Amino acid sequence: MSRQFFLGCALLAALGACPAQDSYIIVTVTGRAAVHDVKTLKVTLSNSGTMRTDELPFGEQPFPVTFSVSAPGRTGDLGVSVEGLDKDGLLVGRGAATSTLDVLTADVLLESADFVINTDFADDQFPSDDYEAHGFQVSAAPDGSTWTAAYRDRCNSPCNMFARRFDKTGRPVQTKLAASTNGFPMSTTPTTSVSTPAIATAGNNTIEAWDFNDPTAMTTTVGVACRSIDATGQGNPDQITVATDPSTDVVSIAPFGNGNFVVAWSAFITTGVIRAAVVRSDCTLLAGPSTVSTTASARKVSVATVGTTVMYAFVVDGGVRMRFGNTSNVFTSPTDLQFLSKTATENIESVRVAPLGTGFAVFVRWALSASFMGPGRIELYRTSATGAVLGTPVLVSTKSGSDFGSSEAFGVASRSDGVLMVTWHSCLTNGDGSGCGVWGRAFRENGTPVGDEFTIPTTTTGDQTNPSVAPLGDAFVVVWKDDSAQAPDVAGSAIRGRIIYPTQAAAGN
Amino acid sequence: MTAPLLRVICTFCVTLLLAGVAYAEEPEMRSAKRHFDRGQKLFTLGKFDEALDEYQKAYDASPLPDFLYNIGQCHRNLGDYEQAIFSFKRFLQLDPDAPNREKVEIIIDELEDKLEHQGAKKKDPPPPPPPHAESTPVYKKWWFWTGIAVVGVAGGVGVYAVTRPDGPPDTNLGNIVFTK
Repeated sequence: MSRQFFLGCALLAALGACPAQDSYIIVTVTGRAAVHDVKTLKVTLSNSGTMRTDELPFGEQPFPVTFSVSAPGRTGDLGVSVEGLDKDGLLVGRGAATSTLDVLTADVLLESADFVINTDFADDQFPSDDYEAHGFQVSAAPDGSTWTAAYRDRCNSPCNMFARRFDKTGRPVQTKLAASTNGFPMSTTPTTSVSTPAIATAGNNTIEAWDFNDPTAMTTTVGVACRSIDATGQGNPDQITVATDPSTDVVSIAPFGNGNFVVAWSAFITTGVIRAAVVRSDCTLLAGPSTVSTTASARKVSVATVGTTVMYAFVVDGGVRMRFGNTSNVFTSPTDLQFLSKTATENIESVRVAPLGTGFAVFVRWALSASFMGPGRIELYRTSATGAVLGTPVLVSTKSGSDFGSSEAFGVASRSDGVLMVTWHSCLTNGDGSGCGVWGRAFRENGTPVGDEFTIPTTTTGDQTNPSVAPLGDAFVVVWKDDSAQAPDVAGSAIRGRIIYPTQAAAGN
Repeated sequence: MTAPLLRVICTFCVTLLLAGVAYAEEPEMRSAKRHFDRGQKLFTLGKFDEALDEYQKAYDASPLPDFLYNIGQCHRNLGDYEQAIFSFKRFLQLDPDAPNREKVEIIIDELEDKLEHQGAKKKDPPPPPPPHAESTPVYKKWWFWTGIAVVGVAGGVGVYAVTRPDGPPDTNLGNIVFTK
């Protein structure tokens, strides 16, 4: 056998018979700050239509962590899906990457999962079940270090208003009112089952206010009640009466830079009116209450502040009217002003406002006037501090609801860098495939969208509805009513929340 | 002699040959594996300068062409594009049939574009020393390609030995074998 023949055979044999080079892909897994308490990583690999799932013990180590993958005999794309599970097997983070089998490394970023906010699980808990009042049930400290969710339970009068505080990563915070990290009651005098809380934070103080009806004297003791808590979670001894108006409804609160708050609400005083007061950080009255609206049949107010200016926006006859005020509850115009009017075919059903730079962001939800049903359209209008529209309206979504409830209120928030987040729920044909779902979409200060609308919950079984949103420095927190009956709250509805990051919004996951 | 029988015999010959090489170089291979594993870990952590040092030590211990690819990736991540191009080209010269050849060529093109974009004076990497100073181009010699093939096979087997399942990279959570 010649030398050439031997070496030729060697080459042929090596190429044809020797095993393929067995290399490794090192996968580095990192997690958002809101991904914590991971005990197990559930890793699913996919290639050429086949999958493999492994559970890797995580222990107590911090992110980032690494594992390797060898795939002898395989070629092409490699899908790597990673779920972080806590000690109870509940999802706390998830992420995915697509790589190829001829690279050395791959990276997976775990986004946070949603989690249950309430700590009493019996029966129903929810941020709001008033279709007009969704969107006002979470607030954050100005530096985004903590946030507080307001909620109530399924009470049959008497009822209480509750709250629970968390840090920016979604870890519950110890409060003096709870003497633990659990939820705690904010009301000190019971109200009725028609009440819905609103919440806002200025400086170190958070106030929760609600439409109040004393179940023992419903025709005489009514109005708006308020209670504050400080940075330690210590509350005022008692709730304070802000107003004694009849038939109060839909309370909205916005903070001033001086630590005070403007509180606005609907009431019925011969006609539907919007009323407002300015309160101090302990809920005591500073100015008001006074009547904001000057046009009859006003409803569904939303307030926001920029500097010393307050924007009151509310719905009248299928359109939006506005009025502006200051830190002393003095109005800048003698009457309210038309901002948007209904068209021949569409009404505005709900309006939500947020500060945006030196002006405001005004979100409106349109619906067909013939049916008051969807699918509807949410639009963003950017305005100056005096309400002059800047640029053209921006379409947020055309899928904001296809039933009556989802045709109504939604939540908006803005960060100090001008990034806006709007969140809403939608059902039936626009649901998430398992009943109603909650969606969000982010926008830059100039109105350009940061990605498409995306599903916010990671728990999507059953209905998710009635969302609110608050800014958290570089992120947002969204809370909503969850009817999944998934652990840890398997009894009726719960309140769930999720920390959302802007790049996540852009990626739509 | 039938083709299947010929193939079996040839496989046996190669196995014997490479087993002898592997046995003879076992201490070097162990050293290479150690440095390679360290390099992989450091690379994953983004410590490219330290990873580069380990890959170079691995190459010193066992000059497998594949290590040059890793060395090139370190230079690339460190922003040393000229050295990266040199390493990648050297890798392709020593392993012209590398399965990732197309990808490496794309990387080289990208790096050369970056060099031009930076306005840096682009320098061609020094050519590898010719194995023989003959008038006939070396790549037209039969033994060159055969030799490259054997070196490539030996290199492939060498890397296989370095990274086979009894020696997966050092990670926090271990290795997952995704069998076909």
